[in-house]
Amino acid sequence: MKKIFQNKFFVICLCIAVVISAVPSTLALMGYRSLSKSIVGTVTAPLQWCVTVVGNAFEGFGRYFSSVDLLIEKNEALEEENQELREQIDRAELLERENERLRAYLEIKSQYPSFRMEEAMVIGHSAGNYATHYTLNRGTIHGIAVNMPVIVREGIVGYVTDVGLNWCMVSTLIETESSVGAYIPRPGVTGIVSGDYTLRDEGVCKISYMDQNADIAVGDKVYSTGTGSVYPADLCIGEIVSIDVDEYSRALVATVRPAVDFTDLQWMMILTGYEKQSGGGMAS
Amino acid sequence: MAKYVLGRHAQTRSEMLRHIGIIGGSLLLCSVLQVSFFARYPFLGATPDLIICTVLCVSYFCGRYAGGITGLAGGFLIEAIGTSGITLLPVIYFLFGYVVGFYSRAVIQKRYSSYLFYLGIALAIRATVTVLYAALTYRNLSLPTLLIHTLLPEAAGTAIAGAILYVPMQLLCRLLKRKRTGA
Repeated sequence: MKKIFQNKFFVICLCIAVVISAVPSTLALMGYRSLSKSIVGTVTAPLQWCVTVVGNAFEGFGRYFSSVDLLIEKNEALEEENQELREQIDRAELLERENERLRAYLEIKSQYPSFRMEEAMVIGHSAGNYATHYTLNRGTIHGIAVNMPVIVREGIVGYVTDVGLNWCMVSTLIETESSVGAYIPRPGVTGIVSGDYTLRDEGVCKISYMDQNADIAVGDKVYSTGTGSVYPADLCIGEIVSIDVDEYSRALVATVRPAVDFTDLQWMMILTGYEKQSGGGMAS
Repeated sequence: MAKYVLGRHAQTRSEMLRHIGIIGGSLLLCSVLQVSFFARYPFLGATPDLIICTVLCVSYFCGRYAGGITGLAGGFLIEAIGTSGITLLPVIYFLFGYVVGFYSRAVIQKRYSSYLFYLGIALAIRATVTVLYAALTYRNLSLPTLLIHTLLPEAAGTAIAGAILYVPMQLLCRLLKRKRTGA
C-alpha cells in the first residue's frame, strides 16, 4: 500500500480527482451550476439524443409485438362479448315474437270477447309458391274439430279441413275449396269470397255473386258476414285489388288480396267456439 | 503524463491516441447508456452502473495507469452527466481503478474468477456510494427499503452487466496489445 502512495502518477491523479470532485461539489452547494457539468452536458447531449432515438426505436419495435398480443386478447374478449350480445339479441327477438303473438291474441280477445281460442303453432306447410295448407300442432285432444275457423290478428287464415290426435290441417282462403260469405261495408254489398285455381298462385282469391250495379272500388275492405257454419261475422278477409265483369253472366267479379300474409305465418288461433251474433248460440 | 496514461502499452503518439479514443469512446458510450437508456428502461428494476464495470475491465486488462485514468474520467463524466449535487465519484472510481490495476497485475492471475472477485468489490463500492448519496438526498430513508428497492436491483443489474462486459472488454484490450506488438 505504501508503494502505491509513493507513485507520482497516483498522487497527481488523486489530487486532480480531489480537485475535480471538490470544486463542482462546492459550487453546487453554493447554488452555482458547475461549469464542468455544463460543458460535459453540452458534449454528451447529442449522444444522449442518439441513444434516446435508438431506445425509442427499440421501444416501438417491442411495442409492435406487445400490441399484437394485446390486440389478440382484446379481439378474443370482444368476440366473447359479441357472442353474448348475439345470444341476448336472439333471446330478445324470441321474447319480442312471443310478446307480439300474445299481444295479437289479446287484441283479438278484446275485440271479440266471445271467442274461445286455441293457440297453435305451424309445424308444417305444403310446398309450392304459396304455402296455402298448414299443419298445426293442435288436434282432437285440444278440442279441435273439422271446420273450425283459423284466424290471426290481421284476419281470416282459413279453416280446419282435417284433424288428428295432436295435429290438424288448415286450408286457406285462397284454396279452391274455401268459400266465405262476405260483405263490403262501404257500399253495403254482399258476396261470396272463394278460392280460384287461376288466382291461387298469385296469392289472391275472388269475390263473386255481387249485385251487378254494386258500387265497389279498388281498396274496399272485405269482411265476413257470419252466414254459414264456419266463420263468425266481421272478420277481415282482405281488400279489393281489381274489379272485372264476368263475360257470361255480366256480374261483377273482384279480386281480393287476403289481409293475412300466408308466407310468414308461425302462430295461429283456432276458434274453438264463438257466439253467433244473429242467433246468439254457440258455434262448434 | 502521457506516458502514465499509456501505461506500458502505448509506445507512439498515434498508438496513445488510439488507446485514448477506444477506451474513452467505450467510457462515453457506457456513460450515455447508463444515464439515458438504462435510466429509461431499467434492467432488473434499476440502472446498472456500467461505468464502474468499464473501469474495472480497463484496469483489470490494461493496468493501473489506464484504470486510474479511466476511473477518474468515468467518475467525472457520470457526475457531470448525472443530476447529483455532490461529486465524489472521480475520487472513488480513480482509487478503485488504480488499486484493481495494481493488484490484478501484481498479485492475482488473469482468471475470470479473480475478475468476479473484483466485481464483487465494485458492487460493494457502488452500494456504499448509493447509500451515501441516498442518505444525503433523503433524510428519513430506512436501510431495508433502500436495500429492497435500490441496492439489490442495482447490484444484480451491475453484476450481470459486469459479467457480460468481461468478454468484449477483454477482446478490446487484447486488440490494443496486438496492435502495439504489430507496430
